[in-house]
Amino acid sequence: MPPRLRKLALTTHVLTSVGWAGAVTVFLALAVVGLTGQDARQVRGAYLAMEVATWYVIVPLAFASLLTGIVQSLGTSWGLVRHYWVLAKLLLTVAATALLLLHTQPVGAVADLAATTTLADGDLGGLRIQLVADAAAALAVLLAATGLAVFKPRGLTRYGWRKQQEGASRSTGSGP
Amino acid sequence: MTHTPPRAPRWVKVSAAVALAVFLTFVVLHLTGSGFGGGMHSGGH
Repeated sequence: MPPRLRKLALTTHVLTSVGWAGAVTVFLALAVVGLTGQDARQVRGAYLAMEVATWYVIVPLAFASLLTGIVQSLGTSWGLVRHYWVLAKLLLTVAATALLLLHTQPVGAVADLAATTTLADGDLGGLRIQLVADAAAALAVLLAATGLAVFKPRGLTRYGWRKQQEGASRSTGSGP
Repeated sequence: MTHTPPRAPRWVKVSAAVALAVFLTFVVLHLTGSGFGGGMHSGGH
């Protein structure tokens, strides 16, 4: 990948990933307000905002982060499955995206009820707690993925090691 | 030059064990009905 394109891809990946984490943080704050808030209008507003944030911010950013991450790794020498940290980050992102899509249903259910009625303390109690737990878990996963990207812990996979050996023998063979 | 593939680093093994434990806990909670989603059908639908 040419250097300029690589920097553009990296910038897009960082922006979408950090934006995703920021949006999930806001989602967590709204979920806590929805669960513990005493003002009915504030609670309703929180759940309605959560549904909008999920579909128009979090889901697009999750896919953009996943896609740009794959492009970024395939377009550089890091590769997608050569280093354990890249593989782990990919698995975390795929798992977080899959769980996000699975949990859009509870967000919709709570937002639908909040739009039509005033939620009492016990209404959809399990789901409202689940939204807080999901958001906290998602944030933990995204922090772990960010940590992997920053610290890049060592470790080649078997595939990465094989590729490295092939590269080394090729460069030895092509010598004078 | 070494000809044996390297072993997975310790951080990979520890992370895999933690991920497996979290996954199993998640599955057990859902199978036993102790998960958070118990109120899914308690209203609205």
